[in-house]
Amino acid sequence: MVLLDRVTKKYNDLVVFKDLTLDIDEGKIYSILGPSGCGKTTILRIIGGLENIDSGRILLSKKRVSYIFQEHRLLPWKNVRKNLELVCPKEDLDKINMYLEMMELKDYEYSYPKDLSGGMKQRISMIRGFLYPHDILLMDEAFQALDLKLKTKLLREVYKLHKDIKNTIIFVTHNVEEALFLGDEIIVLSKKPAVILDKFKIDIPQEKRDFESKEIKNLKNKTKSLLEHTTV
Amino acid sequence: MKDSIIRNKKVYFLISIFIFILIWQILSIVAGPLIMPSPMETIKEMFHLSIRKDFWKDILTSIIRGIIGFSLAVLIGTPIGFFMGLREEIEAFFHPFLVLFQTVPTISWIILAWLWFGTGDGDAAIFIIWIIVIPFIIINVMEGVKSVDTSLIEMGKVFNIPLKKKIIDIYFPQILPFWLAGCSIGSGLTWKGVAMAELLTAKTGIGAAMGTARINLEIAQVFVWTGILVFLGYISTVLIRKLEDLVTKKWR
Repeated sequence: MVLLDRVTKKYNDLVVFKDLTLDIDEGKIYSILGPSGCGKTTILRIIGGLENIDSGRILLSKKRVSYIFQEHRLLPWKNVRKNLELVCPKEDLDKINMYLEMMELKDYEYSYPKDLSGGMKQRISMIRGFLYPHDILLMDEAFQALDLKLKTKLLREVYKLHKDIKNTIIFVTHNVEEALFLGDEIIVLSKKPAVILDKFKIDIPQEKRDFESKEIKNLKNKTKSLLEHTTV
Repeated sequence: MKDSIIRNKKVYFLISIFIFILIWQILSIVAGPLIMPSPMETIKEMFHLSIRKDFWKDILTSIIRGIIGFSLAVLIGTPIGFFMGLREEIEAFFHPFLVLFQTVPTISWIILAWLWFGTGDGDAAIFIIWIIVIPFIIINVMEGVKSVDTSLIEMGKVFNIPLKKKIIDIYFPQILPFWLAGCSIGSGLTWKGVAMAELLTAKTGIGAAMGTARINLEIAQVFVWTGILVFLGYISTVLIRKLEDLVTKKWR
């Protein structure tokens, strides 16, 4: 399915990308990797309807889009539960508890964001992203504020949920390990103006992936050299 | 540590009041009671006045006028400020009115109100309060809307939050502190405005009573009325601050 068709995006005279085409299969996880400032976030913002484009087409064909922002973007005046209820359809309200338990946040259901750590807020924002009914989930550097142990756990949980609800995930990150750990396919972008440098599948089943495994390390080195090449 | 700071603050507060009364007393001794009634004489005068029915009637009349003028300013100013903050063309449309309201001297408004509404009743006073207070409500609400966090607006857009919920759950809590700040400034001006307008355009109310005291050279009475106006101003700002604490204490 073509999501973006020859899309060009400029900020005034600065070309973020030109004629970028994003072709994806439904129900898969795509990791978009690229140097910081290359326009990864802009791609998500365009798909999420937060940014206009200068030319090309966005082909969402009634696909519903959910978003896990880089920042948590929770409402400070609402407690955790109310923040989640804000985006949750009535028939799914019972899922809130399930998610809170899964993310180890059951005790914080009625806490306000000011009383939560950065990682906790990020997890609430992840729950919100999954709770909102969607076909495509956009994740922007969603694992940034977390330590490695929690990150690994959450990456696995995200994968499980994805298997459950069969959504399409577009995951943007500058962290090669995270991208390789989660993605079915990896899309590597160049620096601005961004073009797709490489697109490859990862055949290792997700359950067997580990930050320390040999296959991941090989892929990591390959991807890293690709990325380094672009920034020179 | 914090306790001792709070205790110290209270001590300084009391010292300040004590010095104020002391200076007042000294001035009254130096200048004589006709020009500068002493604190004691002022309190005595207050008791004298307080047994008269007119005294309470005047206070109540002014309070009612103040509340009506203030409420009308809030009621009309809030939506105007909201839409001015939201849309630049609406801001451009209302901007000249705002400048006019702000720059025309209060005394001009009072004379005009006196000519338009006549003397004797409080319409002119209500109009004056309204016109003094409304720019502060409008400007504060507008600034509040403009400073709304766009990242939260985007969040509302992505998750398709309905307009009504967006206004109540995303816009309103962010505008509230600005709105209350506008109300706080406005409430302070209300009691100054009510007295001034009544002095020049009305036969009842605190301002009119002050006018009578002036003609009769009753300086102690002027002091009493001033004290009452100060009290009203203080109470209304405290009430607004309490309201803000009440609404925001959970999440701030």
